[in-house]
Amino acid sequence: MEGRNMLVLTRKPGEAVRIGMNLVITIKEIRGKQVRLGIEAPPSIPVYREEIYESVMQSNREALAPEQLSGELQDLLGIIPSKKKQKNQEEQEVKE
Amino acid sequence: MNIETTRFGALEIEDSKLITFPFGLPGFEHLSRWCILHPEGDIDISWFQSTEDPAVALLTANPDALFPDYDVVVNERDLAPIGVHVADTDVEGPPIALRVVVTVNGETQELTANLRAPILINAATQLGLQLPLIGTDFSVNHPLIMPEPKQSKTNGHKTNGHKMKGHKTNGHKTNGNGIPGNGDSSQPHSALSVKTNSGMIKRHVTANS
Repeated sequence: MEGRNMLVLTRKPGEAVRIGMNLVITIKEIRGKQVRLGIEAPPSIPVYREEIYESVMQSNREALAPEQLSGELQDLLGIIPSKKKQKNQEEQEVKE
Repeated sequence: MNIETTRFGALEIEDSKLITFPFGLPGFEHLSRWCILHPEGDIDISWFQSTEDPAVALLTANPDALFPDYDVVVNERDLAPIGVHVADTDVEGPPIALRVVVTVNGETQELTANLRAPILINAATQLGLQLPLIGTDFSVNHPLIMPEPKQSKTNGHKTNGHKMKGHKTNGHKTNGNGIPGNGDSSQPHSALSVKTNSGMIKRHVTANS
């Protein structure tokens, strides 16, 4: 986000910003280097701490399984029953 | 429905195996339609295959047998997107399936599980959500030991090939094949608790997704 067109607003404790029609972020408290935010959002807008979400994004991207699994893992995970069904169907269709 | 996949070729998917993730998954926000593919065998591991991008498939595991002490605490509002609304008296409610994303290290083939952000699936609505947890020490790359398949191979594969250093196996009961016993009710199980305005509600977790 940083570097892109970022809107920067100055607010005091107790003040808020409204984003769209139904998202309101209130500055609850400023204590030293920490700011407490109150977030009012409908459940359809999930709210995450950014660094946690980013770590999950990175983890998921790394979880894209390597194309080649080791023999043992391939034995364990590579055989999907519906795939075989599909193959059999194709063979049948060819025969027909 | 018929889908194309890079890994498994063309597949015919039963509608009951389709899951919609309204927000996608973190890192794959643009992919909301997924299907669950169960490999042959007794291990509760499944592939989450995107039906919209043939190249995107993630490995997931049922944490119940693998991480018996896995306790997931979520807020009531977190479950609304998958159609679970927790009424105070509704302790049973619709069962929620819990799964964790498994990463295979491309070089070492070692396995880790993302316990930080479990996947929650409402089987009744076939809606899913990967939820980053707050207030927990669970990591995104917890070491995972793959249980051995029941029919053990005799072709010389090392049986401990995926064992990770430092992972505790003490007290983890198995049925002799390396697979934790499912029928043993005395064994601790992973659990899902929902924080509501009126306190904590333990929710039923199902193995079926």
